Amino acid sequence: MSDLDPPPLAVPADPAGSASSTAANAGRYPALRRFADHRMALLGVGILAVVVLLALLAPLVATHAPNEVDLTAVNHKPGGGHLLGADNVGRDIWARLVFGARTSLIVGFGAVAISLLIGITVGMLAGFYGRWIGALLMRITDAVMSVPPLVMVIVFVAIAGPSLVSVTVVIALTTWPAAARLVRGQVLALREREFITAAEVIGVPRRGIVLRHLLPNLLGPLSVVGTFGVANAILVEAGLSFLGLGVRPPTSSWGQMVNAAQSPVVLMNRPWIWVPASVAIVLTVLAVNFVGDGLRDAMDPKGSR
Amino acid sequence: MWNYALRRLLTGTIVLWMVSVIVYLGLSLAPGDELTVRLSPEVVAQLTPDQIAEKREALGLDRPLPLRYATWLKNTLTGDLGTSSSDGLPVAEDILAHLGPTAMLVGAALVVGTVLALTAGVVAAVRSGTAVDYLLGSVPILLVGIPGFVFSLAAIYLFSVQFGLFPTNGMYTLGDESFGDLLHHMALPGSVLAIGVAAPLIRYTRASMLDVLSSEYIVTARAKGLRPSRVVWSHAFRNALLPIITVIGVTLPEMVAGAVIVEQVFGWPGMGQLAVRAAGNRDVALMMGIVLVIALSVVVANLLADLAYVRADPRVRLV
Amino acid sequence: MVLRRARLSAGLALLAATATLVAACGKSSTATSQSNTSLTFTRLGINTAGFGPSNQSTGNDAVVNSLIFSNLVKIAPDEKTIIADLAQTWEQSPDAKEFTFHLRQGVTWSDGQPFTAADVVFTVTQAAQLGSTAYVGYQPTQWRQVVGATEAKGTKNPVSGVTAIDEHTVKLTLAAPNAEFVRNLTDAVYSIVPKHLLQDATAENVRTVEFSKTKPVGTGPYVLEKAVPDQYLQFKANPKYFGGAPKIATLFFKLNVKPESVAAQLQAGELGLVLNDAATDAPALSGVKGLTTKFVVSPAAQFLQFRTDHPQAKDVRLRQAIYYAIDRRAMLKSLFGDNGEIRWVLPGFDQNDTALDRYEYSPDKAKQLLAASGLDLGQPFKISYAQGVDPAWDQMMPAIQKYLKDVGLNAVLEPLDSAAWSAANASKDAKYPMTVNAGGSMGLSPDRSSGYFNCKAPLSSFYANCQMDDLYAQARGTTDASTRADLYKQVAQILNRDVPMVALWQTTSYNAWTNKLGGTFQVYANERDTAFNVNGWTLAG
Repeated sequence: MSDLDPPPLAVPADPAGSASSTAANAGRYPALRRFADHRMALLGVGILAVVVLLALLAPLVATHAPNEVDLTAVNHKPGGGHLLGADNVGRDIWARLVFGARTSLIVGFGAVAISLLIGITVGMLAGFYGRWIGALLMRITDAVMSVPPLVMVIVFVAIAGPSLVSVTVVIALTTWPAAARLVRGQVLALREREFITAAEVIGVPRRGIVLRHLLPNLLGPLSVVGTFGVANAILVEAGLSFLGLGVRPPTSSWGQMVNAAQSPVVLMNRPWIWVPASVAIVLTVLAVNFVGDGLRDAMDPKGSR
Repeated sequence: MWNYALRRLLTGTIVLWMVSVIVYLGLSLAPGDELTVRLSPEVVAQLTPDQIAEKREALGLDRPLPLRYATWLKNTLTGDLGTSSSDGLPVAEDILAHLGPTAMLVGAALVVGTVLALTAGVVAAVRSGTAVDYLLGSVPILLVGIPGFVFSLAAIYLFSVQFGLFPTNGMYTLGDESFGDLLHHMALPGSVLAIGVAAPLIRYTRASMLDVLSSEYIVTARAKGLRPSRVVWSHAFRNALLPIITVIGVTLPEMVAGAVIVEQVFGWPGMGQLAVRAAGNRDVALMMGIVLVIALSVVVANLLADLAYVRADPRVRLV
Repeated sequence: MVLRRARLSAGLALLAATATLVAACGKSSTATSQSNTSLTFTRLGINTAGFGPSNQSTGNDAVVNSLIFSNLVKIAPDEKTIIADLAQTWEQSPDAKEFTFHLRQGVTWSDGQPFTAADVVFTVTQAAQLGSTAYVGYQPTQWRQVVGATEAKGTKNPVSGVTAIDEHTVKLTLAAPNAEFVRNLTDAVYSIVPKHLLQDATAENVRTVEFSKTKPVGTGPYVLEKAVPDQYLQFKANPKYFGGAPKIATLFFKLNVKPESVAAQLQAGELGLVLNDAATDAPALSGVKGLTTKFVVSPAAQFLQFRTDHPQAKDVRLRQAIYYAIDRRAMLKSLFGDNGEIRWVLPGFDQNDTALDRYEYSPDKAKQLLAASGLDLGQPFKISYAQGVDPAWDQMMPAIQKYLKDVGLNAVLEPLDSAAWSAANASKDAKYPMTVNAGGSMGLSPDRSSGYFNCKAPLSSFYANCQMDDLYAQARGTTDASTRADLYKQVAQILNRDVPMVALWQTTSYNAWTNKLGGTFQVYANERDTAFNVNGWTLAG
């Protein structure tokens, strides 16, 4: 069955154009190897690991509960019992930062997981059932894509009310078309591939083979879509918090913490309230993007440096 | 090709109809309605539920939802988008008044951002592997990670409050509606948006250029001894442009979304502000109008982009 | 390569040059607009679309209204002295049922038509005929207290209680005595409107006819020149204003100003006056050159509002427990820098009566009362509040949640957007046992809070006590000061004991303006009345 071995993860590298031919030639997992060679991607993985760890261990690393109000510490500078100071209600910034990491990560990864689930399902259905169902599904996909996500989110959050779940779901509901199109395209492309036609000739049902080869082929592009999706979702959550449509207070989220900077007094005179969360957002988004870059370059050596 | 365009228009219409159903149901099912919105808390506290029910009836808000949607659809098909409940103006008039400012802002940002990104991307590709490339590659990465509103707020406090170079807010100095005044007001929000456009585009341009520069015919052209600048700009750049156009087309809805936030921060009287107001005020008629206009422009823009693609590259077959 | 670099730097230079040019352009244009007297101002809050009494729902509407229209009387900055407006003098019968207004002569509407007693009669009559749907927000309830008003609702019939004695004298007869009648006529919803422009309006279209939407015609100090939705209203001085032509030629009222952008706009000189600014701006604005800022004790209050018809808020002991559980003094001090005045009854009432419980912070009393109330402490106690309506609420609610949790109540915060919140408050079904609200003008008189209670058609807190309603009505009907004081004392005791609302503190409004603003300018205690003497404001070069 060697002729049914998975094809390379992406378009085969053009030796003349490949900048990292050593990596392309390396062993059984060239993609993994190329990823490991990508220094920025490794840095990204490192940063992400720290963020995830802090989020998981939030109750241990935080010296206060995130919603604990200390009226004697309202707007206090860092130090004196509050590592990073306290906000305008007297809540500990450090505690809100690490618990906020949970919110951002749940929104980021949750939204992408749901979005991929919907996207893959719709894409496969549309790919396999070409005529009616496929056409209908793709028109729905177009419908969702033709409205700016943020406008859609504003409408849906108005309905469901702002909460962690609704923000996560709503971001997923507006971002799945990318994955759906990708999967459908891949299914359609696979159906026409010679080795599949060949397999059909020897009596293996076409749908079965396509399914078997679909996943390995999709892993690469989907992981790229997914990572950038995570970064995007974290930023969208921050933007929604800015518009007052984000995660429901008093749940702490980075977006809300940065949002405090809308007040000029906070922006100019109390940087400890908003700077930590801003740095956290920027670092996390960058880290996720680095990982995404690394994955993309690893999957598609032609596009790498 | 005409056949194709016609088919796309037909499906486009279906898409628009589906969008209208989703948004209409969505907004109407949200708790609260245009009535409760326009009463101040003090007034609500002084009205009995019966008085409120009476007002709701007077506004037709007690009619069943499918009936309300049907009425809206019928009116829309006859060209009447209805009246905004939050400002009492005809929806079409309201949208027209806000479309201009957004088009100006997004248009200017798109042009400036694209020019900036193309220049930077090409330079980075040509100088691939040098310090210039490294700098041009890392700055946009950093910018992509900063939420738009943080960037905007920082810009206001730096350039408006500290240095007093630009106004903080709005589109005109009240009473002065000259072109210079408009540009002066547009500088900050436009720059923030333009950077938003440029940051991801630089990377696409660089990748696309690298791709083309390494292709055989460019190598051949170089070998033939053509001037390097001529090779880069008239041969490679042209060919690299095609995928970039697609990227710009795809990011258009995202740009509009970015504009929502920038408009909020800078008090720019555009579609973004209008949309936020419409959702907050449960202004169904207005929201429907906004969403339809945006969806329509995205559908048309995508169609045009596809057609342009065909013209630019005859190998592309439309199915 | 050299060539390309040259092109690039040329491009950059061009870009820089354009930016400088643009900056310079803007500078010069702002300089010219300062040469004529124009003031750009705003009040933080929401503006209703449209003008006139039928479009009155917010404090911002009241400010705009006072520029365009006049009432029979208005109030002095002390909020106590009633002064002449369209009525030069007035008399009231000893039983507080008959009121005679002697109108100014020679007043014209801004479209040139003469103003007469017929306009006053028309204003009262139409308010009675059209009923509540014709008014988007505040209801002109006082006009409907006139004899025959109830019968005229939904008809085109005249109202017997309002008559024009001659061209310039109007007499109003009330069905029940009301000693507060004249004082309350200063509200925006009692502005006098022109008969010749509104006589054909119906309950359905009165809010949307040209007069109400784009071309209001009044007798006030300014005339609306231009309305740009979402951006600003532009007014020009009415040279024929009966109180004397205004000194500032043009006024711009900015709409939809975001609270967060106010400080920057004041500092950049883009706003010359901001009423009702967020107090959180105080540290940023206090030291700014060229600006004056002032906290003014307002007639408004922050209060927790129960749904007394909700199973979890039914028991009076629970409501008292919540009062004891919250350390209002600590909250006011640490969150709002002590800008406010602690209350234990609603503003307007004299709270020095020793019979009143001051509800000083006492977690122990709160726990006892909570236990006695028999409330299931395991169940979440949901507290709704609106986001983006009053910035103070976002700060107050986590602290209140903390205090309630401290005494064992499972307090859960339910932030809603303003539309959903209003809907929940107005709904017949009580969804949340408690919310936070802020009252506008209760401090002006004890009677102002009577609108929050109606034992026959419960509203707001859904607290129904006909005995209390009766006391309010009796007080309204008596002109004897000591009898009234005694009646209000009884009302205060009921409110204090039954706690339909937890009055937290009376608020202060924060206001900021350019030092150039002078003349008669003064922030009223009820800051929405501040433009009552706008014709005397001046603006130094």
